[in-house]
Amino acid sequence: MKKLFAFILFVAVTYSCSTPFILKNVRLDNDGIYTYGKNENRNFYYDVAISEKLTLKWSASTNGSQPNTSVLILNNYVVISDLSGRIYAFDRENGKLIGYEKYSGAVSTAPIINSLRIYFILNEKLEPYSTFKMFDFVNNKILAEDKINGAVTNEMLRLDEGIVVLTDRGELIKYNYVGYRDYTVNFKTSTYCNPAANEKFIAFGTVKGELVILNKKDGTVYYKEKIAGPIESGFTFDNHLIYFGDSNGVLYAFDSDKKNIIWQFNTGAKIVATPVYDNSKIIVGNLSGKIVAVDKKSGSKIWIRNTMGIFNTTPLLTKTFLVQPDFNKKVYLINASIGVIADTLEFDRRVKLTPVINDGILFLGADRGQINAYQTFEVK
Amino acid sequence: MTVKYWKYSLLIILIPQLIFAQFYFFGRNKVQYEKFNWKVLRTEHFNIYYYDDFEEFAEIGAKFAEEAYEEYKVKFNHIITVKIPLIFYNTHIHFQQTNITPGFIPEGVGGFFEFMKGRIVIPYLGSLASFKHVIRHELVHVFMTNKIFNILSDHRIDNTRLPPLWFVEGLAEYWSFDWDTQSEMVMRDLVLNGNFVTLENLDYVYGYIIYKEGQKFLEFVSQTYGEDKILKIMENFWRFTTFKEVLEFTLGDKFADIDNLWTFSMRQKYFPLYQGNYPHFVKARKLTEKGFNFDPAYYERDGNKEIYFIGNHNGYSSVFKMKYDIESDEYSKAEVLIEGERNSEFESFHLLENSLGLSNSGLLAFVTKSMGRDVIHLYSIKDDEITRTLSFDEMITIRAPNFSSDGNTLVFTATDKKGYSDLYTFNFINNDLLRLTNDYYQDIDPVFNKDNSKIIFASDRTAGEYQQKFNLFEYDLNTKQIDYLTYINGNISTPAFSLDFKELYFTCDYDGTYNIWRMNYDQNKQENITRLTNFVTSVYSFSFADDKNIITSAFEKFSFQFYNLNLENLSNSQNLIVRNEFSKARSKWITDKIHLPAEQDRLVYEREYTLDYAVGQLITDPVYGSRGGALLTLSDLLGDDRYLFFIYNTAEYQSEILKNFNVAITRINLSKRTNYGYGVFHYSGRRYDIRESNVYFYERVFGGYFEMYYPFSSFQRLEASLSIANSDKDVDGAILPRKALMVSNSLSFVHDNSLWASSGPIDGSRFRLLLGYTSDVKFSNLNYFSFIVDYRHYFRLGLRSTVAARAAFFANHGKEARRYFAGGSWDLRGWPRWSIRGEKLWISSVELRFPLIDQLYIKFPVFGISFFDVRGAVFFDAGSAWDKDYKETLGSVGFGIRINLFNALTLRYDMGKKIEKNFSQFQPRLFYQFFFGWDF
Repeated sequence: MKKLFAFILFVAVTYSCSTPFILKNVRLDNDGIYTYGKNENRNFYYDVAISEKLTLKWSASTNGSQPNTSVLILNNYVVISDLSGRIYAFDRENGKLIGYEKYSGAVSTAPIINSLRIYFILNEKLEPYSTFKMFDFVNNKILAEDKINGAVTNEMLRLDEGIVVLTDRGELIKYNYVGYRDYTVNFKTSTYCNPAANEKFIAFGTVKGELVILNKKDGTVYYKEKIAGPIESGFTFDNHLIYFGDSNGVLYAFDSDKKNIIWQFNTGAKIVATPVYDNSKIIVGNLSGKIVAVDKKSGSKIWIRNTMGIFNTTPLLTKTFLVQPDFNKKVYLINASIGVIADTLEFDRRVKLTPVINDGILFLGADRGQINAYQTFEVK
Repeated sequence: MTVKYWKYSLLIILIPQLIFAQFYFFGRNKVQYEKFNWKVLRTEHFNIYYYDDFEEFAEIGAKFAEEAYEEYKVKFNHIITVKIPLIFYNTHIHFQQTNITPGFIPEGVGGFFEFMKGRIVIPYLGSLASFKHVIRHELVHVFMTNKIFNILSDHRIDNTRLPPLWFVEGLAEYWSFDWDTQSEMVMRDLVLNGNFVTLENLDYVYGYIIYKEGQKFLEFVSQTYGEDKILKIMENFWRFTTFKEVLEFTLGDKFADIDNLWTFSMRQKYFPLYQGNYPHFVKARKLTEKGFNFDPAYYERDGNKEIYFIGNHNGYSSVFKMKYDIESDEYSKAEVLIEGERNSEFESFHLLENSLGLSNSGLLAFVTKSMGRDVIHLYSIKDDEITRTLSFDEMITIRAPNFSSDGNTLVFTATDKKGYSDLYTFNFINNDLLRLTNDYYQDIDPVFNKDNSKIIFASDRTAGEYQQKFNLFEYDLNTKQIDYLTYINGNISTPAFSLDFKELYFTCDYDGTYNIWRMNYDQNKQENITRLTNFVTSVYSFSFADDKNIITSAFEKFSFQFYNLNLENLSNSQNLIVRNEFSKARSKWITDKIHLPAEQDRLVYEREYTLDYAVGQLITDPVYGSRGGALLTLSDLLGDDRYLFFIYNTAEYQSEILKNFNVAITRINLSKRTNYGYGVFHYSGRRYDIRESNVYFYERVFGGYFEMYYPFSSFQRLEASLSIANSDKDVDGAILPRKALMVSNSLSFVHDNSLWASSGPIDGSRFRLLLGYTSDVKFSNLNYFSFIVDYRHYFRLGLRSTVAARAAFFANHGKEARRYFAGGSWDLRGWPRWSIRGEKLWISSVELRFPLIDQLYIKFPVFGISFFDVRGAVFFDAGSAWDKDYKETLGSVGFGIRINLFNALTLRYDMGKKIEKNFSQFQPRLFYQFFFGWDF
């Protein structure tokens, strides 16, 4: 009897310790960040002018670490996944844990938020497949699931019409928001690339150096040619132009309408981050710790900054500063116009998350699931 | 770990091992012959530790390391966030003295990465190319282990797992340097001779094979599935519990298909070689079958025709000779001329290195390590004795001794304290030592020309298009000029003149493996060199027997054997002629060093202590209640200075907690030749001493002790100890407690040159003589002397069988003398463990040890398990123990089996009959005894 009582007590205590992922009174508005890279273009530019002054607002942590992804913002909630198979929601203002969902495996990319659903992919532990999941965060319920062959470590793409998943084995799947597949295209080539889209196309690269452009509507191939070295960088669309880098360190500007390379610029080492751009320049960092800013029209160098770091995380670009995480336990605030490092935030862990600004709060993240929120200050 | 010399790694597998138990009852000694003055070079990502004159190479090594770091940072998409300790030794001999690892370091180990504290330890072996390779190899280990540790931690999974060794070492090779001649030769031999290990079985193989097969497999993965898959294998490591599943998932094929495809690709690559190449036994006559044989030197005198060489046939390397008559083609079994590796004079031989030369007058020069450096021994064949031993203070390693034709001068290469590997001559007439070169280029294998005016040698001083390739050079002793003799895109070694000195023969790897090549030798620069042989695997060394016969030491079927190669049997049609491209040559090359501000450079090393090990325990039992304790050890970065802390509480009642703390603090210093340790202790509580009667007693003892070890050589040492302890002992049932202030001291002489097989020693001998005295200097309650003599000898019957004999006598004599004990699997088998007790004890054992089963594989439905090296023993034991009067002689005979588990534990199962009643009759039934432990 005592043993039974102890068991019941143990179960009760354990259950009461877990906090279910339930978000209430939420609405999708224009201020939210519902996907990695804000929108289908993967645009990491924020039209704000921040000063170099940052004040730590709160710090929270998750059970596992994050890969090179970012937090999402939904109203007053910060949503983040982790590599121990969890999806968390924190209070945006104070970092308090609202709830989390736990699965066996890893959620290696940022989820996608649409309506009252969170869509994410679980890389299943001990299984050779991953699972696309549609989660109802109001009722804490999985509504749909779909098995995907292999691993998914490429960020999902949020389109108006649905979600694009690109697997590591080169299978591109378009889901609608009900959780069904609209189309599937299998390229049978390793792909470690975050795809991007514009009004017409979806684009990504393969490790064979192929640039693949699909018609967004039906997934038919619009363009597929080997034009670069192995491609593992993220893609970004700037109207009809596509920017990406390759493993030889070359940054490319490709015109999707004319199907040709506009210009290329060699940074000297492998690029895995996504290039970021504003009205006049493209900025990208490489794995040897170099950041380059290139003129959008000509592809000529504007500035180059060498560090001892390693840039595998996509930065955030504002009117004033480039906020560049460095895996070597730093975040640089670099003057976006001239490339001078204005300030350096030192971390005691490797910095991994792509920064996000929302309503004056800058979100950064480091190893072992550390998430920091900073208050930013606008330059008048 | 990097295995630099692959042949040695074969020895590591196939021959018995040394036991490193310096601080056990026996064991060889790791002798710190040198006192190193350590300095630290702090670079962006490394703390580089070096000593004395090694500064230049430390700066070069720092540059290599920083360059490699930048490369691996990109390759792994990863960064190491702490400074990596990189520890350099200027020679392998010094490297063997390191305290960073407690074990002995065999000749073939070219460096290691110590996982616990992340230390990289590397010796400089004379070649900058090899130095760079080893630094890069070990750095791949650092990045890989750190990356995998972080991946597992990121996923909140047990982060102590690692991929299998073949992947770990294969990756380190694959990403640290290009495929080379040695790798190619090993793979050719494995595939063509049916020794290729498939992926399925690679987990069960150790040694150099896994380095090369692992490297080749990753090359196959890169070519077949894509280079990106290699990093993905690591990144997917968290996902599955077996590496097999990780491979299947990452590569997208079934494991068996991957394995088959790889095996097929290897066969497809290597089988066609037989169209143009041939094995050694096809074109040459095999002269030896056994062991490893190197440096053949043919000598003819008084009608006797003999080959002198260095070999290893039983685990000990020695100088051998064998009769061989070329004309009749008759040869005899090799016999040991000078037995090595049993005493300090011939402490070790350098097997694969060129280390034996023979003069026309019959003087043999061979190199051994003796104490802390290499020496050259001169052995007269005529007088059958060593006539002289040359040792030079400034030289640490010596290689390739060769005589001038008049026998008056010896030329050789040696490494100095800076790490430079240069040419030297020693003149026997005036005892003059002359240094010919003095730079960081590696000069090897020098020989004199006919009139002794020039020295021909191979060197990596090749500059220009084929920079750092080993070409042949000529040193003019009159002008001191060095000129190119060859300039090709290949590596040349072991030059030797034909008997008429008109042609120069050498080995060269120009087209894949080392074959025998020839060039004319006269005053003019030669336009061409010619390949004479086209063996599928390498010739390592050779010497002329007459004008048309060459004795070669060649690699085939994973062994090194001698062959007689008749040059007249070689077809000219297969000759390959290669032009020397002297126009591409330059005078010298320079390597880059790291440049640091002066204040960062050359800091004196100050001991940096970090935690080695910490463990705590809390136990509860119904009799003694709860007790707990902890043990932790600290050591400095170089492992020279260690602290051990032990704390434990044995209180049975709360009121006894303070009184019953058991505390010991010990410091051990290994930095100098004389190792010492001292400490203080306090032990208190109820105990049961198996040496005494079966009673519990309470004892509180506290005091301090000092111990000292002085090694004479690797094989012999002196041990001394002194302890002072205050003891209050309450024996249950006794009226008065026994108080004593005990002073104990002992002096021991220990000898051990044994070789070990999987379950215990199989060759050599071990001996300990101990004299000790213990007295109570305050109360005179206790006063006795101790005497121990224990001798063990191992009579080798074959490579893996031996007869082991042991005779030991132990005595404590005096007031309250402690008892010794025997009985059980370790001494008097069949008798209850530790049941035979007495102040005096003798034991004698004879045991036949032999191999029983080499591999025992048990296949369960889901998995299989293998047991290797199951050994058998037939034994006879006798002994007795007594206090005042001799009681009776006991004994046992029987049979046993032993199984070694992971080289950490040996399980023993014995059965037999006890001999009882004062050795007069066997017990009626059989006894069966199961225990663990090494053979005596």
